Amino acid sequence: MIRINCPVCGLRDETEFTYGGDANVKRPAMDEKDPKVWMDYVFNRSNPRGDHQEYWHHTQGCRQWVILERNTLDHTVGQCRLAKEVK
Amino acid sequence: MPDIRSALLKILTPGHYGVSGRNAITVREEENRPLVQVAGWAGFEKAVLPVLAPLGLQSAGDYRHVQRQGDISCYRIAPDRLLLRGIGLTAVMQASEEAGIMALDLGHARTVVRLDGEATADLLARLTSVDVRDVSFPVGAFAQCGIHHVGVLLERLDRQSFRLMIPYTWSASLVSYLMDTALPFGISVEEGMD
Ligand SMILES: [Zn+2]
Repeated sequence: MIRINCPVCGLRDETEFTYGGDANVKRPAMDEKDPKVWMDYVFNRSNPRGDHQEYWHHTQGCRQWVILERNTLDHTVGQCRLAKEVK
Repeated sequence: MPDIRSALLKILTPGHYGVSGRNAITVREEENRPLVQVAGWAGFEKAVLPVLAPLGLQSAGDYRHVQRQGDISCYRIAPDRLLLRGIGLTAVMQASEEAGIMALDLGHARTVVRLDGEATADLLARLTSVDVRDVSFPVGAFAQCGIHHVGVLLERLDRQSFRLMIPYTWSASLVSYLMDTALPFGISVEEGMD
């Protein structure tokens, strides 16, 4: 069980959250013409072994999107910030 | 306005349940009271002040403690959202509109259950990941949390008393689950809303 320290609600079980994917993915500019760039954005993920930044939604709590640092190897959880406060 | 019927008519029948000779949990459905969600966008904390001031509330409050003013309870459930219990939509509608804040009547959307008794904290520890020990969840604390995969607002009214605000359409399933979990403590179901 991962325990996530929501900046709003405090420490909660992972079961209150919904995973939202890789938080490093950046949407291409809307006038981007290269289909490969869009292909990468929509389908391709890096699947790292180790530290990862990912989106989680606190579905059953404050309903905020957060960005969580998680180690994909051992599930060690690091900093958790509100996604809207991360530039 | 139509009468609100209880969603728990078939779930909470007054009587004793579970282990005999013990009544460590008392369960009662509370009467429906007005409930309004007030929500905004960036700058919410400041923007909502003109909505709260006429109610006697000086700020949006924090995410852990209920603010009370007379009959009104105010719960800051998210950075840009709060719940007002004990006051109707009409009381905040005009001020909300002027402040660019959205007010939504949720009076029909929640079932409210009160738990009393010596084992309430033990029961809740089996139902939610919130730390409900006195030291971390004192009287006046609240938490928007997950119970039985449903978002529930949990509030501590007294050392042995808690209130749960449960989405109406999920409440029959959730309270059945709560009753099953409470059986080892001995349950007394009291007459509530009909
Ligand atoms: Zn949260």
